[in-house]
Amino acid sequence: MNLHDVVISSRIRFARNINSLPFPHLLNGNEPDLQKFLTSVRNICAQKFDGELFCVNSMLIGGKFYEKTDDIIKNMLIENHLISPALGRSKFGGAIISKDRTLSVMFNEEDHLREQCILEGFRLEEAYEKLLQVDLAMHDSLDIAYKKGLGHLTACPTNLGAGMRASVMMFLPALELSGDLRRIIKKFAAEDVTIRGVYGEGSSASGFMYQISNQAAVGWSETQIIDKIENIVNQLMMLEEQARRAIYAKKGIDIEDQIMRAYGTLLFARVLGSDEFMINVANVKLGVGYGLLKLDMTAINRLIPKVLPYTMMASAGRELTPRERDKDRAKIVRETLIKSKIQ
Amino acid sequence: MVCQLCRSRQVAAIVKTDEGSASLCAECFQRYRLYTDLGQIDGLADFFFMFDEYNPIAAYVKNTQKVCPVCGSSLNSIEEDFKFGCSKCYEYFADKADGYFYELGGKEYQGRYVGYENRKKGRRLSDMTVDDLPFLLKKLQEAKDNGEASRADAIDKRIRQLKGGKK
Repeated sequence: MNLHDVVISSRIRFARNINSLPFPHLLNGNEPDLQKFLTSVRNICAQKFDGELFCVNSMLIGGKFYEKTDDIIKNMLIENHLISPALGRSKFGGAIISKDRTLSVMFNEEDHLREQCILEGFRLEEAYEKLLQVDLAMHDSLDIAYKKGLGHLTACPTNLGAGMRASVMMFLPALELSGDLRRIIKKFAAEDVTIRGVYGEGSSASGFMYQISNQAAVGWSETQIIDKIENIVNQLMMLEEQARRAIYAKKGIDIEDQIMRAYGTLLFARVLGSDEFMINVANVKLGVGYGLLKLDMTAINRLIPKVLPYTMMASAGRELTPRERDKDRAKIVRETLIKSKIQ
Repeated sequence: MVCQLCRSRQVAAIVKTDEGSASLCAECFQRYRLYTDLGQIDGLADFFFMFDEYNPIAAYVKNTQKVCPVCGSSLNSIEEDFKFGCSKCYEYFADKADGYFYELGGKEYQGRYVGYENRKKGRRLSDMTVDDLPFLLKKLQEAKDNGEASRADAIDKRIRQLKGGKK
C-alpha cells in the first residue's frame, strides 16, 4: 500500500507583535509608528524573499500607494490558506506572499505579524528552518514584544510562548469511513492537539482532508511543538494504514467499484460541481493509495486548490457563474488526470 | 488620607521629586511609574497635567477602574474579548496575565528565543552584516536620542562601511 498520499502539506506559523503599537484590533490608523512598522515589514520581506504585497484596504506604505486587493484575489488567497479569513476583515491588514507561495507574512491580523511557511509533504522541520530566517530578520529589525517567562506577547494569551503553530494537512479517508476518527479527535484534544476538516468540516465533501495542529502551547519550545505534531502524524499514518487494510479486507470489491466509478466520473464528466469533485477525487486518491490507479499523486493534490471557486475566477480574470465554473472544472480535471497517468 | 490625583483611593506612596512631592494611591503611583519609564512625562507637574478633567483616560479611570495607560484597555474589555490591548497590558494587568498563563498550562517558555535579545545585544558591530542595517539604523537613532555620541559615531561608521559594500 502506498501511504505517500497521506500527508499533503506541512505548515509553520509564528505570531509576533511589536512594542510600540497597540495590538491590531485597537489600531486607529493615526499611530505614528504604524507607517514605520509597515515599511520595515515590507523591506525585511523584500530582503528575504521575492514576494507580492496584498492590502485589504488601500493604503500608503513607505510613501508608495497600494490599491485595495480585488475581492476575487482576496478570496482566492483565503481558499488557498495563504491568508486567513480574519485578515480579510482587518482594516489595516495585508500580506506579503512569496512568488512560489511557500512563505507569507500577514500584517495586522489578530497580531501585528503572522509569518507562515507551507511546504508540500511531511516537512515540518524544513518549513520551520525556512521561516526562521524571516523571523530572525524581524527580531533583528523590529522591537518584538517579548517577556521573560511568558515568551512572545500576543493579543490572545493562547499564543503566548513560542507563538508558534505547527500544522499538517492529512488525507484520512479510511479513518473517517471506519468511524474511528471521532474517537481519535477526542483523544488528541486532551493533548492540546486539534484535528479539523480543511474543506467543509465534518462532511464527505471535505475530501477527507484534515488539519492536525497544536492548540495553546504555553511554555512549549519550538522543538517540542514540532516533535509533538510529528509524533501524532506518524500515529495517524499508522492508524490510517490499518484502517485501509481492514476496509479492503471487508469489502474489497465494493471499494474498487467505488474508486473506479469515481475515476470514470472525473475522466468523463462535462459538468462537475465542487462537492461532486471533492468526493470523487478523494476516492481516486484512495485508489492510488491502494495501487489500483497509476496516477501522479502530487499532480492530483495540486489540482484540488486549482478548481476551488475563487481560484478558478482568479485564473479566468473575471467572475464566473456556478455553471461556467462547473464546466471549466470538468475540463481542468479531465486534462490533469490524463496528464498525470503514470505509464 | 486620599490620593491627590484621583481623590478617591487611599494613599499608598509619596513621590518626592525636585519639583515637589505628591501622595498617590497604589494605582496612580503605578501609572506614574509606567509613564516615567516610557518617557512620556517629565515629572510630577507633567503627570498631574495629563490627568485633568478633560483627559479621557483620567475620566475613564474615575468612572470605572483600571485602564492601561498606553492603549486604554480595561480589565472588562480584556475579559470580554479574551485579548490584551498592547504589550504593556501584560505588565499593567500582570495579575490577569498570570491568571490566564496558569489556566493555559503555566509553564515558563524555554524555547529558541530565550535570551535572544541579550545574544543580539552581545554581538559586535564588526559581526553585523547588510541584513542588520535596519537594526543598526534603529540603534543609531536610539544612541542619538540618548546623547551617546561615541556609540552613535561607531554605529554610523559601521553603517557607512556596510552601505559602501565592505563586509
